[in-house]
Amino acid sequence: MTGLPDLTATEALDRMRSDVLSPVDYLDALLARIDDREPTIRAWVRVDKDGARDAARSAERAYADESAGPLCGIPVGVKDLILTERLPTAGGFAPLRTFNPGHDATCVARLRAAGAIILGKVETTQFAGRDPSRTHNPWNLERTASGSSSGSAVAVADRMAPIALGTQTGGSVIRPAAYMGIVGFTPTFGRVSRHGLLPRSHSFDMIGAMGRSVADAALFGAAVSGPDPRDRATASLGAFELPAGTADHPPRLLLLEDFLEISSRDVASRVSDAVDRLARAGAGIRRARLPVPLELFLSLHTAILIVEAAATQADNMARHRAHYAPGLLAQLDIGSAVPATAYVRAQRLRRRVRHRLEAMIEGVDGFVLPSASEVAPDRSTIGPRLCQTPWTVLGWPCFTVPAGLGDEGLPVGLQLVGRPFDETRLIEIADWVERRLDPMPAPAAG
Amino acid sequence: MSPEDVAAELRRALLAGLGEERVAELASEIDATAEQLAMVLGEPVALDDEDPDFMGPPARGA
Repeated sequence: MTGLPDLTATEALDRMRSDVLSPVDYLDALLARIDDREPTIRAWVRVDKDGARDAARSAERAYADESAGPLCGIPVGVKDLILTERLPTAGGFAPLRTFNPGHDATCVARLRAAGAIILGKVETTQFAGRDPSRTHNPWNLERTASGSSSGSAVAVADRMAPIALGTQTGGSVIRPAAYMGIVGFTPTFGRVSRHGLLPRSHSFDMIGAMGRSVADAALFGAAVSGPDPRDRATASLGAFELPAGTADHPPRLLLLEDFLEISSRDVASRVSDAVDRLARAGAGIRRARLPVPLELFLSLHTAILIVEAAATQADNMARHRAHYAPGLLAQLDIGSAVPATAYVRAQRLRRRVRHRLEAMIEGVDGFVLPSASEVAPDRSTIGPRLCQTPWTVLGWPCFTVPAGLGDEGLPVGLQLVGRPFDETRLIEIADWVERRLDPMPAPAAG
Repeated sequence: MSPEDVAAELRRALLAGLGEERVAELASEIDATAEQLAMVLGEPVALDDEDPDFMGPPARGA
């Protein structure tokens, strides 16, 4: 039997609008789930029970007087790198334990304005770096919860929240979402304001949404998108439109062989099976290869990321060096020594590579590939960035959609990459794909 | 520049600020980063291939 925590956000909204579900009852069910699971899973930094209950009561009144916003009554977990007015934002860094400038990030303010409830802050790796967080994987407690948006993905997968916001600087929305068997969505770079996000790399940082359906991730991704004068990367861009209805037009996709070849046999096999199924359902699938070496994407990413991260953290490093996690500190130290000419060259090459890929995606709806090159590995790592980083380098929109369980009973994700600023079509594709693949069961570890 | 040249340059820059012990700790990470930087530095970008807004977001927008 499906309990209230199993509802997707869209299902919960439908019930609230039909007056068969109270926002207070829904919140209480999620809080009970958190009480039950958190001692084992450790997905949350802080749960704002009082603030959430106040908001749920307001939501109940809003439904009663017909002033409810489009996300009214839906509790959301927010990655602890994103500012929230009522709660500190530490970014996994002890010296920031009580840091709170007292205002919401733009994305959080937009969720509140639409009626969503900020349930609390979920775990992140330190400053979105590569050192694993304390969060456990609900599919297998001995496997990584990934990162950097570990708490976001786990809270959604383990039915503690229907939606969470994450951030991606390499693969930190798509990879953890894939490992947890949920849906992750990163809109095009520039769609979602980063104002109020503790930065790691201004060239790459993106905010995305995680949920247990394409409709949920799309709904919340759209809610946080749109221009914001406090993030100039968004200045010329409007919000994207959600599809008007269900798309029955099968997509035309390029299956990128490079990523099948670097994936484990298990992942490559599951993804190939899923793509075959899509083809049998009418999708136009053609095989293709990247026009530039994958290694070049990874090198560009490293050259830009570690320099920007070192510059961003320079003042903190001078004051609090002993508090940095070892993997992040190594990157920051080396990033501070990279010649400026290498950084600028990487930025120039990045734009050139983007032009090559733009030519490749013309004439199709998108790319399809594994979301991650293997299922969740052990807890010493957050997992490799190979399948996600190219799209972060380009700043293109991506979905991961669950594609079943692999041999070890761990989720495998199918990644869909869309044309830049064509989120509407990408959402249609992801929805079409989701409806042709099997639904993902709930995790059961611990 | 070869990866070895880049690694040597990184070590020189790091020695001044962090000392020999830390540079020794970072040895394998320096080498891995140097491989990637050498790839970036070895990829030609002609002046007529330049995009004046190479640091901005993707080109299209509303």
